[in-house]
Amino acid sequence: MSHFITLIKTEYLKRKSTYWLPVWIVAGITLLVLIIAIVAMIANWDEIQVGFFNMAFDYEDIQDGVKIGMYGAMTFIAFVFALFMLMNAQNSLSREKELDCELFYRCQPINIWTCSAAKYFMHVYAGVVLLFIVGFVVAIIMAIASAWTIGGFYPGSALYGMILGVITYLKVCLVFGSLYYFFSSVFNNNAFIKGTALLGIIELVFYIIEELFRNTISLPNIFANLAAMTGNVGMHHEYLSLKEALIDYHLLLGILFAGACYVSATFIYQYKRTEM
Amino acid sequence: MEHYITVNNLSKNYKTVQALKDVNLNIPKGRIVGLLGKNGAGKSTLMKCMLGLLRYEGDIAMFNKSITEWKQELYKKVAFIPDVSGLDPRLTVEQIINFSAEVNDSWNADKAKRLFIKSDLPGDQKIGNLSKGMKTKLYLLLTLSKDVDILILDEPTLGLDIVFRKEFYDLLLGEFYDENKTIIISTHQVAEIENILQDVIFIDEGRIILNESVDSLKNRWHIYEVPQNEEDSLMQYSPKVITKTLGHVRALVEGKAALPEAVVTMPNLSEIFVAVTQEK
Repeated sequence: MSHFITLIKTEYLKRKSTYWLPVWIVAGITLLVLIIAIVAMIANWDEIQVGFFNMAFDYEDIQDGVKIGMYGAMTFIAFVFALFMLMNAQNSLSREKELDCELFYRCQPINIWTCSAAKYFMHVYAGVVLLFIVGFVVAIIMAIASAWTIGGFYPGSALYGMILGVITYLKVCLVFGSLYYFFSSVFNNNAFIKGTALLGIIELVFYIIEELFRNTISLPNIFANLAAMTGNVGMHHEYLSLKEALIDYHLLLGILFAGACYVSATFIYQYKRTEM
Repeated sequence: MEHYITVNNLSKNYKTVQALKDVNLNIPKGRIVGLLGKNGAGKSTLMKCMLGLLRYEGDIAMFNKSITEWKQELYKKVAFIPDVSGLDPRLTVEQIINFSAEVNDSWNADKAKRLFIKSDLPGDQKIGNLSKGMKTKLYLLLTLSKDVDILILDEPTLGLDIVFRKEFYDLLLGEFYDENKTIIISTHQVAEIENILQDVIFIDEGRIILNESVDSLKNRWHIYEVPQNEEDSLMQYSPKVITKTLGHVRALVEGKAALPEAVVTMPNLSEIFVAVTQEK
């Protein structure tokens, strides 16, 4: 266990900037929106619709509006975090080799599965903790802004939207983060591009086969199936449902898929260790 | 004599190239062994096989246990410094020291503290910003801070200036070696380490062509320098590495030669290496 904690800490130190960069990007954009909104309100630019300050809610239930507004904000924030997560995941098991320091780590008395688990956890899921903190701060700002503009202080609703956003992000990590973690064991560099291209080629081959057989056979649509594994996000036109997002059999498939990616990536990593 | 490493019928192929061919050797406890060979002779491959970093055919045992059974536990007793000073450039000196201390049960905190205080390594500096010499020194200090039984060094001083090289070997002897520890060094700069080596292994085209103690080797080979008119007499002894100087012929001879006119001197390891590879 102590080795695992050391590895977690070291993985963080190695890639510290890639964890904090999305936080600074989101903080910068939030600050910019706030400044523009405040300036707009002070100047009484009624015609300008900026951010959530001037959002006109058509929903009868304002609380649902706050939830959806927060979920919308979280979609943008999570997108920034997801980009950095994929950047980290796609070279999890190959970066040390690129930097010529793989032998140093390989010659330490650390179990290879523990080593892989620390990388997997840090490069795929660690961003969730930061996203939660950032989301919490944005939710509070959103609640205060709502109180100021629409007359109701609903921090619970804002947090509800935030939690749903974090869960959606977690599902993306589970499926796509794990997939690119797997690719990092297969490709020695540029795993994101190579992995995506590989899936694209398979998809194209499937399409051609289907066409050749005049659509009498149906082959799986890879990207659609991957997206389906993230399951129900619990979003409806007028309300959000945390229950639907959590109680979903697709989530179970996603967990199984993630487990398979981790295990197979570690096996490949272990095999490659003997051919350095 | 207790053997720390036993290699039997070791072969290694890289696709079409056979890097090691039926290698057999024993490396005893408490010896400093030089692994000498030309570029591409198979030195690094042999070392990596010993460390379990490559797949191979044959058997390798460390401390009487096959290395396939050791897995990562092996690195509690064996340390390795590769030819490239491959430390993580993203970490600072202090961070890598902490990492090594936390993952190695064999870490000797007192020794590490003493070594690093004496060194001029800047703790807060990123490894990527250090010079090659500093990186190698850091790698050596990290390795010396562990209480391991075997140290394997693959061209550790490659590309370093003479001051760093001297400091490196002084540290190695002063801080690591005792009668219970074994050091295996592969290097091109044979002259620098020949006075510290106790045994040498010559490897050529993947085969072990010589495995002997330095003392026995130097007793066996001699340099004879004779006047040019005595050249024919010298040639009777199948000399190797023949050099003609002004009025004299100098050559390496295995065993004793009855040449009363000759000046006999002790050869160095490089000369013996050239002679042995020629002989092959």
